[in-house]
Amino acid sequence: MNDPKSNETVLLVEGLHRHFTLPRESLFHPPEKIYALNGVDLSIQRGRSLGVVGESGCGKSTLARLCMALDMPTAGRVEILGQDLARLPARELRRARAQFQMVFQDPYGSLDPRHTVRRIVGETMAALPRGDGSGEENFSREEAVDRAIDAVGLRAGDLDKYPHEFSGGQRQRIAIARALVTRPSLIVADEPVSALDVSVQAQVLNLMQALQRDFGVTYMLISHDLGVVDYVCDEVAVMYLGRVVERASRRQLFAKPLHPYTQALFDAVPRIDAGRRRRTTLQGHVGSQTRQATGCAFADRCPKAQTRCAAEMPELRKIDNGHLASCHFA
Amino acid sequence: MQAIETVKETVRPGQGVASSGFVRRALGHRSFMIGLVLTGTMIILALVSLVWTPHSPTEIVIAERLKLPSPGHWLGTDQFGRDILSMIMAGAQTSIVVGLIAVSLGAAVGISLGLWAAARRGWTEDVIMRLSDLNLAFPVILIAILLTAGWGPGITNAILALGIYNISVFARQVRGAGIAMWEREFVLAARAAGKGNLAITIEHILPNIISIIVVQATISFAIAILAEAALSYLGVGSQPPNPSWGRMLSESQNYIFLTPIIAVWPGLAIVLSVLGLNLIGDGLRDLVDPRLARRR
Repeated sequence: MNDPKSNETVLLVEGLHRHFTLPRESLFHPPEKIYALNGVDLSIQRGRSLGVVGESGCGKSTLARLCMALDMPTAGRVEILGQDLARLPARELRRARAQFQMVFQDPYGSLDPRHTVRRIVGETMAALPRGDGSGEENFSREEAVDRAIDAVGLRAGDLDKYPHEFSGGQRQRIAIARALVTRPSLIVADEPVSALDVSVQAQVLNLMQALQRDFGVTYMLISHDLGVVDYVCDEVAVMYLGRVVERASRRQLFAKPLHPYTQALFDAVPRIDAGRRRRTTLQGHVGSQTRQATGCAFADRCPKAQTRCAAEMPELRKIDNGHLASCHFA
Repeated sequence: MQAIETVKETVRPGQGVASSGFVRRALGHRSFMIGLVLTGTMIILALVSLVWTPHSPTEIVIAERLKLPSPGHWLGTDQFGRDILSMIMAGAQTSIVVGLIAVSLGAAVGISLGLWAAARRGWTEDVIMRLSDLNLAFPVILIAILLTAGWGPGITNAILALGIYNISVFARQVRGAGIAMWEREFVLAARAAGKGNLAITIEHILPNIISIIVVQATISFAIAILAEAALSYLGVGSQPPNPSWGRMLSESQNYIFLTPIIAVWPGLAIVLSVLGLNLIGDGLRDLVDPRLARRR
């Protein structure tokens, strides 16, 4: 099942749109819409990890929710192991959830304070429809919980404790164990370490990498921290206002970012070694989410913008071998 | 944060929030224990009165009227020469029955509606909450008088009026707390695990707001005792000769300058039982919360 050599596509996102309608404010105007995602295409192969980078409000978390079938797309589709999530019947979807799990940002909010670790980690198992005899769940729920807890480096004695008895890093381990317990193919991690102390971040990231080696998990890691992405991911997608503006392998992207927005992101990373250097800081604000831009969504803030940028939307096109960017001048 | 750190350090391995730990913590919780003693006394008085009272609570002895406390009548006698201690004991029954049924009725219906409103939102919530507003627009006393107008005075109508009023009280509390719980990330995690609304409500929402419900129940119980007293005082609650603290209080006011002490006993009974229930409510809120479990 978890053969890391296979070249299977675990997650396929095609033309994904998600628009939210705001509450009506006036009788005479149609209610405003928020365009959270405007046509996102992504795919992840088994055993790889994709980093999704972008500033807050760029649609990262909406993307994560859609990939977890916690929300349904306005248009486009999300396929996990070839199954279109929006088309699955409710019972099939519940069974399919064993294949994709999520790790949330805030380990203090994502664990029910009234439940013991045993119950939290076992929850996904308990929610699976029973007796479908697919052979994957031959081991019992208790065994699966024990294994997951062991895999994330917690002790069996921790099973009957409550979340408040653990530190942030340990809580995130519990959250990872919960995601791992059904042996999913895909784990979506929404800012899994940004709520943790820097000293603990590396431990959790190392754990995630070890689990990928041992279990062949595929990750979609959402982060605003380029350091985290550099540490864990094989591939990176940079998002801006609901679109993927650049997509490349980690090596390519970190060696030569092509999109001006990506370049600005790299420039914003503080460095100790470089001494005083001139940074190109972005001017202006993130564009409106309630209007769809006719041209490039980044044009307002782009240092390279020309008249063409405001009029014509740049396609996400191949610049280098496997390196895609949506900029007229890349 | 500071508090959480301190709590963590005092945790010994293998120590869960077991039931034995609950009893030990309860014993160490001073106000909870005071509340337990006060409420326990009230319950014991009511139970004992079922089989024995010093005198009959309804026996009228005009020659013995308005006596001060004495060895024969520990708390004295009222304007008809009835033994006040016996009446207080029998009156505790009335209070407990009214409080228990009124709160159970209100809680059972109100909690269900509140959880439903919080889970469904949208028009379900709107309908439930507007109905609840409508209900709250009628004070208990008015509902009781309406029912009395329809079916005549009696304790059943008082109970029903309080129960109906409590539905809205519980529904509002539970909806508010429930909506806040639905926003939490662990609910999203449960949905990602494939749990439906009903399972999430029962497994995540209800256990996390149970302390609020427990506190509300004890407060509502106390309010029900007060309200029963008020309704009986107004004559639309329990009817004579059935003893009631509220009616004892209302009847004693005619003799307040003659024998003020007879107003003190039912008043004290009401105050102490209400206080006891409130202390228990506060205590339970601390004790059922695993996060607060290891403090104090």
